[in-house]
Amino acid sequence: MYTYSFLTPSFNLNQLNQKIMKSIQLSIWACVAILCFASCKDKTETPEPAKTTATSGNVSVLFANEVDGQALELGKMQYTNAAGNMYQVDLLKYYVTNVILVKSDNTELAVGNFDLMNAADLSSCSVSAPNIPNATYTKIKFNIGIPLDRNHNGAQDGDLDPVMGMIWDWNTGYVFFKHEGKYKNTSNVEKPLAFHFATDRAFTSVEVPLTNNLVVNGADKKLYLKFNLNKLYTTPTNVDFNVDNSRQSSTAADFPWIDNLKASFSDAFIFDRVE
Amino acid sequence: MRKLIILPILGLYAIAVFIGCKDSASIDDVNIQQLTPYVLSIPTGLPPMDIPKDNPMTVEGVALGKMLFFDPILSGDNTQSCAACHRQAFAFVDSNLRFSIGIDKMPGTRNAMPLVNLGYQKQFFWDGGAANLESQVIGPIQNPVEMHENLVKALAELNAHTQYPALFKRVFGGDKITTPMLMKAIAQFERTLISGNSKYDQVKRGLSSFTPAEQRGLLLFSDINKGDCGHCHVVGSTFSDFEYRNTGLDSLPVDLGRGKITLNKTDDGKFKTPSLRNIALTAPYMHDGRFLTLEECIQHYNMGFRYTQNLDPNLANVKKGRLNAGEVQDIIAFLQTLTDTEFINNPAFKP
Repeated sequence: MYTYSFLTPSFNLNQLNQKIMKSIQLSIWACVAILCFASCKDKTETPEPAKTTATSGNVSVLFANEVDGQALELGKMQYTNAAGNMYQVDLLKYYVTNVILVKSDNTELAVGNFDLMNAADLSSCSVSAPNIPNATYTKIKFNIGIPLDRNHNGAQDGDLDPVMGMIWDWNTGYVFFKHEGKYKNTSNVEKPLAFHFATDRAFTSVEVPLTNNLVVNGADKKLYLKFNLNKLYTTPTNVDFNVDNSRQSSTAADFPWIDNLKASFSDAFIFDRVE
Repeated sequence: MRKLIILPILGLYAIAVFIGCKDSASIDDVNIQQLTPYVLSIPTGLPPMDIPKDNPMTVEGVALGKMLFFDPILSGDNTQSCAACHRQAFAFVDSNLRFSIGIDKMPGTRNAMPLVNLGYQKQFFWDGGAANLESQVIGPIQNPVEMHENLVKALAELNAHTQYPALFKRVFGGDKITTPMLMKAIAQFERTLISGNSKYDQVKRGLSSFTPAEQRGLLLFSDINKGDCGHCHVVGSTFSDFEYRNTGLDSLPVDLGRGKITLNKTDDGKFKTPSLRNIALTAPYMHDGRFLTLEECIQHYNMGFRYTQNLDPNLANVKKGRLNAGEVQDIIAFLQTLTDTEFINNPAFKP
């Protein structure tokens, strides 16, 4: 196809100096070959971008992790929870699944995603929702965790691959949310902090009203949400890390903690902006 | 005129690049279609095996799983393979050790389980914590007292290996080895570990006959007023219903077993009923290997069990001391007929 358009003129130019011709043609062919390789690479290594037509647009939902308005930085002893404990975050990961965009007429559009947000990798902290039909969306719903029918099987791909470090190997099931780090105890000594939110009981539904509606009109949109970690440690009363600094969701004694955290998630996510 | 030669050559080259492009995108599909389905040969007396739809067995997949099963690459310091603690001569338990020793020379807390007729079981480990055979695979690999390996490192080693990338690509497609591929390959091999040609099976097929002691043992085994073993170790087929039970080993369970998985107090101290196939080869017995001999086991059910909170109703309802010494020996004689020497010598299960 490309080949013939280059071949034809080359035969018509045989009056020119052969050496010049040869070098020109060699470089043209080199370009063609490189182009072929390049297009090859594109096709096999990156998924084709979703097609945007006039009737739909691609939406990215971006999650910004923060602590009371301060952008989250890992490894810094600089946050204070509602109980007044100083703490730092070394690891923050959570699953955002089953994103649903709710239209102004209350009909719903399910994305069907399984995405792991990892604060150590900002590029992971988003959910892509391709080909969203043009409409005005007033609400976003999603789950923190893995639904029952996918929670008890380790042989899964993508963000569910056990290599992501979010599945128990002794009791097949995913950890839905992890916060690990340190806090300063009453004697100002650094102590470990580890919260692992897991088991089917922990499967959490979150609904965030979109203060400014998300209007999809054929163009790509970005919907920014904020996740305020401090909100998780305020229900029903403020959590004092001196009393509660380690939860693995591995005994029945963790059930009340699981229920409290579950109730806190809805307050932890808020709308930021649409671009 | 040299350009006339060069041009077609370059043209062909360009076309070849285009074609190569197309081919490389579809090679995976072609290869997957070219795999040979693995047909399990199920011995008479055993039921058909359910194979998960997302992990169909292939000759190539089973061979890859076997290679991985015997390869120490999956342990932290590349010294222990799965086979280090699951040895064919002992029906794939660990040479009669109570607790296997991991790469850091640390003992586990439970007795290595035999790998026999795994495809009939729904859940794995003594407490059923692994929800399916594929999911079980990463347990021992990551356990600090077993192979103590990090999955990120294990996958990096496999992906950098001289043979594995091509073998995995052939079986599963894709350009990178992933954890689910590793899990599926090993599970495929494990499903081939079928034992169904013991003396018991041969007697059932009319090819052999029981001795008088073995015959008496079978009757005592099934008699609900005597051995009453068959309530759980269902006679024939798999010799277990694979349910979880508290068998009164301790007044207060030291290991919560199934209760650790379900977080339900009524499951505390319950463990999976193991199959009795090849039981004479898999000493010591119970989840913690506390009994060295079959005689100690049977005497536990005859006399020793404790009336603990979640004691299985079948045990709660039997009389203690219902078997005499001779009857215990007869049951042992019967249990020995469940040894399958063909299974422990099968060359297909050797590295």
